[in-house]
Order: sequence, then structure tokens, then C-alpha cells
Amino acid sequence: MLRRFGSARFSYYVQRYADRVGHRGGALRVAEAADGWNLLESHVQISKTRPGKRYKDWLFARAKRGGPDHFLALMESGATLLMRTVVRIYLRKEHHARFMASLQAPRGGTDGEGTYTLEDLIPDASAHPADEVSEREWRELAIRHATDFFETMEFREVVTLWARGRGINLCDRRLLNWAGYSESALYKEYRKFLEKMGSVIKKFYPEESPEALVRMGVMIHEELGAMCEKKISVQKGVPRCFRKA
Amino acid sequence: MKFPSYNLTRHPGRGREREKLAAWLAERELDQHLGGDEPPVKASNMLRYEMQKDRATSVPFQAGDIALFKPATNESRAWGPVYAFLLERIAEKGRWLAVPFSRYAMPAVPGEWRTKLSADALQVLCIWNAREVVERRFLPGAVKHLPDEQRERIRGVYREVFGFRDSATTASFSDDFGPPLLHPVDPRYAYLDEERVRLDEHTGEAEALSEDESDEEGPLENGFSPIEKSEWLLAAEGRPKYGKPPD
Repeated sequence: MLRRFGSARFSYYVQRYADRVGHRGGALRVAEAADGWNLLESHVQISKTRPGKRYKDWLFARAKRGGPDHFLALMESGATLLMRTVVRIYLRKEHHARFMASLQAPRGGTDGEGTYTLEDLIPDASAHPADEVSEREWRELAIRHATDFFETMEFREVVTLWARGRGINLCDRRLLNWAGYSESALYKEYRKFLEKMGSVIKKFYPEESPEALVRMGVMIHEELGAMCEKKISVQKGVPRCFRKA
Repeated sequence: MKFPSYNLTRHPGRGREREKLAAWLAERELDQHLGGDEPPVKASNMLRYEMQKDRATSVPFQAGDIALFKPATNESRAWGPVYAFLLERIAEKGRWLAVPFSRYAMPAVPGEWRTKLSADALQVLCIWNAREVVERRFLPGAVKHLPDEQRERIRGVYREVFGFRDSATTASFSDDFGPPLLHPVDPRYAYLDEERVRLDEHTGEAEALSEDESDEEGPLENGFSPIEKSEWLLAAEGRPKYGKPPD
């Protein structure tokens, strides 16, 4: 019974993955599906000792919360959750060659998000100003751009950038309750703002390298974070936990 | 207008950082492809396992143990069991300084560290997400105990991440940390938010947040006070932009 369950769930997730990446048969073999349950035991356990298999206690504790009527259904959904992790580990280990990517290859782009490359995310260190004078000039430019942005920013953008600057989770309920926005609204706002900032920087400096533009974007972001902090610090109603000591 | 000049010299470390980031992104994308609606559940009598109170459950935790959190109240944000390393006991508060393990096998950011432990669930420690946790949040009994030497190593990493720098440890740990977070739209921000929430759901902080709302002085109406609103509207009327746009 367990083997059948493991096999079915394993195949389900491997198939889901194949469908979503547009995989057309062949390389992604699912012969291992028959061993789905064994794979679960070997990937999820910490060791072969009983304490190392405490994930079973986790499954039972989770199932008991639903009461006797839902016990088995919750057991099954818990095991399914574990199997999803197992399939992820299996695909990472067995099909890792598929994930090799070039530095310039666009990634992301799902759910309406923009794309990025590895080079965008970790630009060449050479793009950083090497000496004090250029650092100062870069910073001055960033401050001037940040000031322009700040003057036209809506309150929602101020809240979002302030939260990001302070490392506050955009899903934090205290933040959402105070500001009166939904979590998705803040995420959307943040992305929209970054896209706007990116297009403005590109427009001003069309001949600069992507690394330089990213560097400028990061600096503007830092400056805006400081400006937003000042703005928010004089606001009434800011939860105490967000105030600086 | 041009940027100030800068020297074009290659940074030798970037290649390795990009490699690590590529590996992390690959697993992240894989995870996202697997996500979505879960398969339908058909309850049956196929699972038979009696939770036994073995000897381990009666043994109290000690520093160096790996503990398993009790299931989260909101499973939709939990993604399965969460393990944590118990770094030290904070006796006066009756809590543990617990460092959670990541869902992924590669460190995502400089605050995450590869442990090189063999179990898949214990590959990466999220030092940045360390918390004080009450003991009752864990399932009874340690999953594993790490020897003192490893515990001291993790303590060194913890000190490294939280800024108690020691040049000797920096050199030996650097390659096991995650790549830097530089770009404002880096997808790792979303992951960090998820991990914070994931742990909130396990430590009870998510529940405490709703109780904590009395802490506020009252929400702003539409996010603005009336004076603020007029100031912002004035600001929105615009000023000449800095610099000239390209032709």
C-alpha cells in the first residue's frame, strides 16, 4: 500500500515538473517512481536511528490536529508534502545538468515578474568605483536621482521602500494593518517602483554597462531607504516595534 | 551625462559566487515548478504507525541538539517539517537560541551557511533567521546531537554572521556562505520573506503578531494624515527633472 502511494505521488510530481518545463519524454525517466516510498524514507530521514525518523512523529502530530474525522486525510496530505520535497531533491541530484545556464540567459519571468540574468544579480566587481573621488561622484548622482524619485513617490511606495530598507517583511501583519494595504499590493508596488527606477536610469545613461546601471540602482535604493526612514519616523501611528530605539 | 570612470579589473571571486547563485536559483525554480494545487487526498487505511514514547522523548534538550518543530498552524506557509540547531539555552528566559535549517541544499545569501552534514534536510543553516524559541514549540526528543567540535564551529559561524568578526574564521568559512545580495529585484528577497514567515508560523510569532496589534496607536486613514496628503499632492505636481533625457 505504501509503495503504491509513494509511486503514485512521485509520478504525479515528476509529471507536473515535466509538464511545466515543457519536457518531452526521454531524459526524465520515472522508473524510480516504483521506489518512491523508499526514496522518501532515505531523503527525509536524518539518520537510520529512531530519532532520525522523527518526521513520522511530525506527520502524526500534524494529523492529530484535525481530529479523528480528518486524521487519515491529513496523514496523506502530510506524506504528499514530504514527497514533493523528495521529488525536488531527486530532480536536483539526478537531472542537475539541465539547470546549467549562461551568465546572460534571462531567468525568472513567471507570474508577470520581470526577467534577470546572473550577471544582473551579481555584477562584475569592476563596476564598483575604485577610488574615493568616483565613489563620491556616484553617490552624489544617486542622491540627486533619489531626491527626484522621492518627491514624486506615493505613500504606498514610501512604506514599501522603508520596509525593505529596514528588513521588515512585506507580509508582516503589523505593517499591513498599520499601513492599510494588502500584502500583494505592497509587493506589486515594490516591483512597479523598481521597474520605473530601472527605466529612468536606463534613459539617463543609455551608454553605460548593465553593471554600472545596477550599481547606480542599488545606490539610489539605499538613499531612498534613508529618506523614507526619515519620513516614516515622524508619522503617527507607527507600531512601536518598528520604531528605532 | 556619463558616470565617473572606473578601472576595469576582474574580481576573481565573482565566478564562484555566480556558480553558487546559479545552483540555488536552479533549485528554487525547480521548487516553484513543483508547487501549486496538491493532488487530491483519498483517505484510506494505508498508513499504520503508532507514535511511541521512546526513551529519547524523556531526555531534555541540550546545546548541540537538532530539534524538529511541531507542525505549523498554517501549513500553507510551512512546506514540510522544519529542523533547527539548538545553539544555546537562554536559562533566564527558558528559551533556546535556535538556528533553523533551510529548505534548500545551497546557501542563498551570505547569512546562510553550508553545514556539509549528510542528511538532505540539514544541508544549510539559516543563521540570519536564528530566533529565541520556547522549548514547547519542538517535538519532544532530539533528532540528532552534533559533537562539541561542530557546535563550536557553528557558534563561530553565528558570530561571523552577526558581526562579531574574527579574521581566522572568515577565511575558513567564506566559501560555505551564500553569494551576496546586491540587486534590488533579486528573487532571493521573496525567499527570505517566505523563510521569515515560515519560522513565524512555527515559533508562535505569527499568532503573537495578531495579539500585538494593540501596540499600535491606530492606523492612518488611507495611509495619510490630511496634512501629509496635501504635501504629497503638491509634491506630485512635479518639478523640473534632474539631467537631460537622451535624444
